Amino acid sequence: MKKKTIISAIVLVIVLVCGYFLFQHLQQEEKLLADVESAEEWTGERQVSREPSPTIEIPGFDSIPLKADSTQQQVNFHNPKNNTCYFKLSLWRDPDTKLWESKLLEPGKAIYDLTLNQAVAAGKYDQAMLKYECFTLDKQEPLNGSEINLTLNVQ
Amino acid sequence: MKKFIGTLMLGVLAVSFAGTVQADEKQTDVIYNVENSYTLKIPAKIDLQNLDSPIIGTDAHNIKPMQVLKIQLSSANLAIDEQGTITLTRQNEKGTAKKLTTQMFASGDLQNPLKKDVPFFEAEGTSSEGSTTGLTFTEIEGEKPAGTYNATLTFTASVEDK
Repeated sequence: MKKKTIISAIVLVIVLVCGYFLFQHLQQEEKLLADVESAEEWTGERQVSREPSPTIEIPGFDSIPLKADSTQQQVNFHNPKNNTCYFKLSLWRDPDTKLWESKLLEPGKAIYDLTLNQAVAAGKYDQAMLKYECFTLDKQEPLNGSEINLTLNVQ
Repeated sequence: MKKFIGTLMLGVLAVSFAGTVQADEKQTDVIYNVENSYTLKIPAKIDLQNLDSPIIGTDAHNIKPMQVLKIQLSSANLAIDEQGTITLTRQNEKGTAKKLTTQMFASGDLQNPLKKDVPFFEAEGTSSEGSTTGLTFTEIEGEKPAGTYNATLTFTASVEDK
């Protein structure tokens, strides 16, 4: 009777140990399976999500009035506050004659008074241009720019 | 006779008074002139790799009737040839610069690359929200040595009669 009990106990221990190891094994297998991503087939490189392309706002003019025979002029040039770049403006009487050039103008700032390189005689100059060069705020690297064709009304 | 002279005098006075009134009726023009105005919206830079397709147009515009605002690539663009091919040059280049090329298109028209001095965008009338169009580019093909390639573009705007 005692021998029977011992054998039963040993069998029970063996069953418990085997059960434990089997449980561990199954759990490990389950864990390994969980680590595998259910991924897609490779079909070549795809575009990653992109940021919106930044823009620059540039004030346009159809004509600018100037005082005849005077280098001191009053204007309304500004860099819109939404911009994230410097402006460098230059005013041209015609493609070969630069009348004035600014330094770097921050966003939200304006130029109301300026001094021309040379006075301009009275008349209409329809080959005139206001040129905007744009630069980054941090490294002052060049960005895209714009030329505004306009008429200078000099009176 | 006295009655006749009196009537005549009154008639003369009436005519001269009427003449005076007519002379005072000068026409006066009341003028309120609003000049054309607009704010251009141009791409700050064109990053073909990491940014969405750029847009160009106006942020707002107020253009007189019978006139139109036109935007085109400036003739001053050195990075664009006559066929509209844009050359991007690798930055910080020492010696022979590495270059890549592309072409730019507007409004989904993939047949006609944008060229210098040819308007590709027009705006007219008044809009507080402005109007824009998307710019697209041809895929850069061939060998692409690592680095950042760029080109600075200049856009020209002008208001013209229709």
